[in-house]
Amino acid sequence: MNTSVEVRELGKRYGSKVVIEGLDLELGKGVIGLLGPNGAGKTTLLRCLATALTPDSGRMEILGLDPMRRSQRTELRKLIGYLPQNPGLYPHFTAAAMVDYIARLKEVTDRRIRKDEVQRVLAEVDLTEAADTRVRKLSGGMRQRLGIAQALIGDPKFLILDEPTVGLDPEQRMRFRTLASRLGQGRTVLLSTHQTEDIAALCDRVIVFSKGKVVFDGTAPELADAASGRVWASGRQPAAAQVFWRTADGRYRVVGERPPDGTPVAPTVEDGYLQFLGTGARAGA
Amino acid sequence: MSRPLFALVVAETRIALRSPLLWLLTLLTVTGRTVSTWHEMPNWSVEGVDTATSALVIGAGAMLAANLAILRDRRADALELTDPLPVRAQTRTLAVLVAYPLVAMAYAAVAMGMQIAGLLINSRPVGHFDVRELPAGVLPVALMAVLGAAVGRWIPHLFAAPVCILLFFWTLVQFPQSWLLPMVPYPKLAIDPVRPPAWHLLYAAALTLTVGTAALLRHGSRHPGLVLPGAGSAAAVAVALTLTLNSPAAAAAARTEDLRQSTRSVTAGADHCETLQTTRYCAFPSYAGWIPLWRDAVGPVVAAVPTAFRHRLPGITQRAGTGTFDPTVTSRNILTTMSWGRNGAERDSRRALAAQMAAAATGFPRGTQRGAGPSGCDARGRARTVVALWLIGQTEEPLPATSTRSSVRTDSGKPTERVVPASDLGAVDYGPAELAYARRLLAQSGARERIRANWTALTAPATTLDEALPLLNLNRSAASETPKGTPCE
Ligand SMILES: Nc1ncnc2c1ncn2[C@@H]1O[C@H](COP(=O)(O)OP(=O)(O)O)[C@@H](O)[C@H]1O
Ligand SMILES: [Mg+2]
Repeated sequence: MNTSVEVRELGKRYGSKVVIEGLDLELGKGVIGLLGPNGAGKTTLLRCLATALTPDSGRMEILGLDPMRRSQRTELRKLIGYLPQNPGLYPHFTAAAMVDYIARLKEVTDRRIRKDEVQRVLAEVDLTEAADTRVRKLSGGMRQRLGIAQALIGDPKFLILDEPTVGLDPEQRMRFRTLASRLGQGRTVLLSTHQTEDIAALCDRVIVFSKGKVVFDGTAPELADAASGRVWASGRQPAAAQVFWRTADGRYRVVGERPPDGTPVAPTVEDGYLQFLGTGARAGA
Repeated sequence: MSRPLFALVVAETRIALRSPLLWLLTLLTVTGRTVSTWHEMPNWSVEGVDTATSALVIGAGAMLAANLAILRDRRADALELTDPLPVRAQTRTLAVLVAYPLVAMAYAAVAMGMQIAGLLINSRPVGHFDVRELPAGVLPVALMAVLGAAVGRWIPHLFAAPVCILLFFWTLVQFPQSWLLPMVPYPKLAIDPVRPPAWHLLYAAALTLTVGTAALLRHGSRHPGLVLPGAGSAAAVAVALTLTLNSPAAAAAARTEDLRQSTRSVTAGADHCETLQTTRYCAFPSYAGWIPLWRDAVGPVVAAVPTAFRHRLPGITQRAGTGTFDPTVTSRNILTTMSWGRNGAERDSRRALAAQMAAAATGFPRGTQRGAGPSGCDARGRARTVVALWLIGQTEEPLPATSTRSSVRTDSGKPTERVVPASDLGAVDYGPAELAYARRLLAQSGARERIRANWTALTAPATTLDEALPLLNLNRSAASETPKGTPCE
């Protein structure tokens, strides 16, 4: 595998709260989805990789550079595109001015190149029309796309997108999937999400993250497969210890032990994910 | 300058240029100052300093704008976005430290230029224009912009900059003439003020550099390229300040303090005096340019008085607003102030000066208190009232008398209202009849000869209007009102 990111024994804690401990990870080209419940430590991991946060322990090598070393870190930062979970954008800037400003901070110093680059990334996320609109007048979804646009500046070799599909309408989400798959062709795209449909639709590889640990690492079909034989449809509400939810037809979908009246159902990525979370939860308890 | 820094400076400059804070305050400063000085003839010794001082308003805007620029990420919660970008925070601070002072100084320079242009409209400026006031006005604006950035770096809260502005202006008001300030906002005297020497400009510039370095040091870098210039500028502050405070100008300023207490403000010795057509005019040397304006106001009145009586007329002497007055000077002179009207208001200045000469020529007590008594006097029905108003009319049209009302306490402590007449002749009251006769005289040919021929009779305090009408070749058109107050002596 062509490894562009290598993480060894990574550890990060906030005060006494351990968020990531002893994490090993290798990332190659393609779109990689980081799936996990709230508080799993996805953002923390992405921030470490984006050099926004310094880990407490462990080693990282990203695109052949060591972010812990100051000189290499600056070099590396030019190669990374990062969409934070809550990208604060300047409300009184126009969309174009905002991206232009970020481009300057990314050391795109040539005026013409910068101008073209701003137009290009705005077009990528379908914001060309809104280029002169002030950020405070953009809708939530448009802001999210603007956040994605700024991450694309300078054609980064490693794209880190923290919950990029939040706030996007279905059409924009489709568009984003197309964009992300295309970007994943030549570079590493690491994105976090709660949306299992996103994962199924666009990720070459899925990492399920729970309590700072990798509980699954494989392809989307493998994740779905992991739940095969453990997904059931049932007419009665199962015991509280089970992972289940009520579906539109009034029956219950159960992931885990077979309920007394359970009939087997073909598993989805979501089932696989829930299956791992259940396991993870039990393992952590 | 590295390319990323330059790109950021350009961006910040553009943002600063569009800052509504800056251009609104610039507009406000220019408009406010132009309106407030519109009717006053400029004296550069004062206006130069005031124009420079007014730039501090723009400085306040620059301080806020630079502070907001520094706190931009924090306000928008964008630190997570911008922190992991290649350009370091220190470079971004440096960009603000370069762009905002430059833009604010440009705004201040434009504002000062526009004020000066406004002061030049219809004016005959006096006093000394000190070109040093221009950098003295512009530099503190840069300092305030840098201060705004430094405060944003060290105290990253929005309240800090407004507090800093309040402190800045409080210091200026509290120690208005201290040369420890980056800018000395008031001239000590309107007459040839002693101002800080050129060293003081170096002091302000070095202070700006020092504060800028302090802002950069917040990023934790102890690079010699940062620390050494910082230490250098701090040393320059100390040296320039010492040189300022030990300059000959500082000694002169100390002497000025004595002068303020002396009688120089009214004595004629050091003044510039000219005698034009029997009247002696004395101005402070830098105000000599106004003597022709005074002569234009007073000359026609003097010319209307019979030659034999002119030698008894007072001279014109300028007085400053401070100092004690020499009574021998005040008794022989009409005192004129440090201001003169412009853009329409010069008619009031001319009328006031002409009226004082007319009052003196016709024997009316000048001023409010002397001779007229505390409540003024009534000159209705007297010939000399008409002559005095006619004399005023040689320069500007005479106006009806009015009165001033003030609240006083009686001996028993009860507050009562006191009404004192106020007219161009002083605390002297007259009615519409006197004014009407004066206007008819002004329109009548041969009035001047008739008045000259009967001067003694017409100006005697006891001569009534009825007695004078035949001498003036006027027929009785309106009955004079009966005097309401004490008749004038
Ligand atoms: N700056 C912080 N200070 C203290 N605790 C934090 C901080 N950021 C995150 N955490 C905690 O770390 C855990 C992981 O958070 P996060 O990485 O944001 O998870 P995720 O993105 O998977 O939802 C959470 O329990 C969260 O409360
Ligand atoms: Mg998160």
